[in-house]
Amino acid sequence: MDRTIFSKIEHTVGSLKFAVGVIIIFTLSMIVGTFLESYYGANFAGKVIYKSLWFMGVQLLIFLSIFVALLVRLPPVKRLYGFYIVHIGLIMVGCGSFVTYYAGIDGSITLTKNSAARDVVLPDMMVTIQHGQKKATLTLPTGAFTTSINKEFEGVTINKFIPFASLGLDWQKVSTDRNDLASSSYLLFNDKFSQEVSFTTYSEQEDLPSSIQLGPLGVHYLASSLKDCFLKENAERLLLWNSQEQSCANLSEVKNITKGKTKKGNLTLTIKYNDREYNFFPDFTPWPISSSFQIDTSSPIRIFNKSQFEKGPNLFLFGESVAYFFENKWSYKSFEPGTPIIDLPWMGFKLKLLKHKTDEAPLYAPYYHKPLQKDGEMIEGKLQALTFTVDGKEYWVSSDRPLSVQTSKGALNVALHNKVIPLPFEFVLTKFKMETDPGTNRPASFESFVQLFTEVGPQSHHIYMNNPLKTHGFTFYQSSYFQEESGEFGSVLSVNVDPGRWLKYLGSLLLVLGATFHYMLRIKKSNLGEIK
Amino acid sequence: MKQLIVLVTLLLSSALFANSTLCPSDLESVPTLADGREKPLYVHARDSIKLLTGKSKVDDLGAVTAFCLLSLDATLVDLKAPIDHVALQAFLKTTEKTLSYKILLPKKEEIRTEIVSIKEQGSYRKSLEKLWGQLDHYESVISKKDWTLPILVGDEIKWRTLAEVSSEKPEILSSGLHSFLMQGKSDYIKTKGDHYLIELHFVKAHLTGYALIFTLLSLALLVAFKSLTPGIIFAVLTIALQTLSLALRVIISGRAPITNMYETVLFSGFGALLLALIVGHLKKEKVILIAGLAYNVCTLMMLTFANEMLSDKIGPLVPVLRDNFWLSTHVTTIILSYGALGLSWLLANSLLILRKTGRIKLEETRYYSELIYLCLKYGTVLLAAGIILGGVWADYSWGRFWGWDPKETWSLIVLMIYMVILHGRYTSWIPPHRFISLTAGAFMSVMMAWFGVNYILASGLHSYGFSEGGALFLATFFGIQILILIATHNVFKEE
Repeated sequence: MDRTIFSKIEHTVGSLKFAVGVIIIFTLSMIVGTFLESYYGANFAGKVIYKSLWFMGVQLLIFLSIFVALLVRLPPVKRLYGFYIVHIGLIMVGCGSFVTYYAGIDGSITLTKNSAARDVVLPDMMVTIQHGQKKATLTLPTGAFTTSINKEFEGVTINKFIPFASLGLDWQKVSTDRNDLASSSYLLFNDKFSQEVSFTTYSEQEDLPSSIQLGPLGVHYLASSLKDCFLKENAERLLLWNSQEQSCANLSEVKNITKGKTKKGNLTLTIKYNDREYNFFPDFTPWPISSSFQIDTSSPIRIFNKSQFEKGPNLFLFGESVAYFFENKWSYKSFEPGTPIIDLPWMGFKLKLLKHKTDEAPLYAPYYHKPLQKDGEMIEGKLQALTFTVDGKEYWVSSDRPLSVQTSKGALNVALHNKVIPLPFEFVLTKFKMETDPGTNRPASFESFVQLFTEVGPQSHHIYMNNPLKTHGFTFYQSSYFQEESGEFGSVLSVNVDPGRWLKYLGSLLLVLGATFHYMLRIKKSNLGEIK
Repeated sequence: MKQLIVLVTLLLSSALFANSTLCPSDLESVPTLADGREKPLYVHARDSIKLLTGKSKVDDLGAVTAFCLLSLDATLVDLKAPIDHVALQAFLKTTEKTLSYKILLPKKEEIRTEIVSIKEQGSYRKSLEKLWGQLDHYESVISKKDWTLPILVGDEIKWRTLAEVSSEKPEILSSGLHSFLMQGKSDYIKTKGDHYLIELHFVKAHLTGYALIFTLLSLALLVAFKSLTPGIIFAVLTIALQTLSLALRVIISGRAPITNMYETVLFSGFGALLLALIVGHLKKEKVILIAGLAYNVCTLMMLTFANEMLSDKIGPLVPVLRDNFWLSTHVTTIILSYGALGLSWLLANSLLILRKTGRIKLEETRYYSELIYLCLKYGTVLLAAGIILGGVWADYSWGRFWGWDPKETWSLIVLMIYMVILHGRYTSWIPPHRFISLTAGAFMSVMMAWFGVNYILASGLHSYGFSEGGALFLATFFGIQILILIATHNVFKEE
């Protein structure tokens, strides 16, 4: 390189003005960062500033400035010994930080009692795609805002990644083979309460159930085709509704049905549908009951026992008309054009039809939302979401549950999850101990008793605050705890590998020694006395 | 008429007599368990009454008697809650500044409903929340659940609430309380020793108040009477009192005295004065000592009068702060550096004001500017060391050297700001007069790191209390500092 250009660069980067300039940028960024953290949380501030590429760049400039400032003051002058030590210390701290950033691990491991764990969860997000027999993973960008990805794998195009997402309803035109698609939004209100509710018969909707409970009131959205069937009286007062076929039938018309009674005399029904058996207890719920006695709300068929809906307040919505049972009779009402409000017989409640469409559906879709906290809990932007296209159709998946779709190539599973690295041994939490301050519920200490299963056999360890476990190059710190539904406590340990640690410590030591030498030991030479 | 007077006098005196026999003030030395710590009843009663009324006395009754009577029978004492917020007064339909708990208690649910109905976090909601907390505490006191009594079971001391004890032994609510408590106290002392009584003597000694008087005396002697030796004697006495105060806090709490805002302020004043005494002695320079004393006065004033913001309660520590050598050294170093930077701030501002009022010549300022530079050097080296020690502590406790927590980020911001000033001054890039203004202004970053992170940003891992009123204090500080900088921006122009 041309010598004059080199010395020019040297003099620019090594100059005080340059140093002060980058320090000011660095300082202002940090100030903004602390305020961002205060409003949007540590994760957001980290993504926008502290862990962003440009902030790394600013730190690199500071590093360069220190390095060149050192170079231009060589060969050593006795007067500047303190200066050299301080700046060499700073360079070492910088190198140590880079080593930590590049080769370090900062994650956590969650331990539930008596079950083996070996996965360390890292903050980076990944997507795993399994399409037919093929599987691929992709590390997602770490930015704070929605990022386009546009990468393809086995016919799946990943469109964009939303690092802070909330779910909201978005009305979209949908095409379906069925002719009875209907979607409606209502406002249920009285003087003190109001709630907007949306329903659709469009079936690919797990988040928008067709039956909801609002306090004591049960609200059920049914296809308008069911209305007539609902109006028919039959002896058993039971209706079978198939949401896949949007068809309804009186029970007497249904084949493949086995009737029975429980010991207490309640009716039981078993129906074979699509090679599966569904067990119903229509006196209790329209949904089938699974073999583990859970209500299966994903079932395509339901049995409505009209008598059951006569016990408490229940409102049936058929798009533009409603039905309810009150004072020993069923009433049917329709929304009149112009006055889309119906009076309901309970506590002055009214129902307003806000929107009704037969070619659109309100679909839950993720949208970008800056993280918001309230009372220490995330209320918005707490999800990560990813959109992708397959067979010409766009789907989305969020971090709280994976998505399975049938495509032309077979089953497609897409999951958003944290990056995980396995430990070279297994961890088992054998006991978790929490002590509280005497007479209060405030935790005073939490301690984990763990067993490690390594290649040389099991080892027992005791990890608590300020007493980490160091093994196999990893350090495990007691960081948090949680309570399971069973009441049993689980423990969260932070897992750390920091190969740059000693470089940072040594650099820090030099920094402090150098500064002390520069300012304190040479203080006798200060010109204080002369001026006086 | 005479009979009536006699009757009334008799009634009154019997009531007073009843009070003093039921709850005599010597109950103050009885041990109790509150907020996770064993302490003398005096301390708990004072904290309780202060929380409920904002004062440490109820009319003529001392805190212990008032607390005891309230616990025994709520009708015996009429406690009044302070109602300062105008909107709160309107909500409670009162124009009074205080309101009796007997009137407020039935409105507790109404207050809860009002809190829930207010969406935004404003001062009104805060005042409602505070009142609700006070009512909750009042309920706990009058239901006898706030007072725990020591009982010897086997050879161990167990703690039972007054409610539990009185349901088994109803007689203690009338005449038996005193002897029961005294028995509990002697059992406690036999089992666990009388270490807890140190806190009683400590709280009653009001060391901070005396330290303030001594500092003011020393300052007056040095400045007004120009008598050096007596001034130094009082400065040394102040240091002695503050050392004693810090030492007692260590003995009582069993940890370093730097884990809440109150203690950091106390420690920084102490540190600055100590530093000023040492450096002032080495450099034979009175001005540094005066600055140290003045800074100490500022901190002692805050400790004495800003009770809302700085609570002198000694509480148990959050787990990560316990048993930690690195924490103690880290916070001590940082707070000492704040003390040294505080000295530079005071000197710089004094210089600016003296110039503005024309009481100092331009040539003289050069010397004082050197003094400020000296303080800065100490401050920044200590700060850098403190930040690094903080990294060591975080590494030791959490497994990371640096985590961009707001407290640590702000300490780095402070260091960077002072670094720019020092480098600029070292290479004469910043002219001497700008140096003084910059030093005065730079202390705002210290205040932000020290108080602002807790009172304004209020998030992160550093859990000193997030008290009320801190934001207002900081805003006032920033406002005054900026006004001084604006008013003195041209004081170094040649005459």
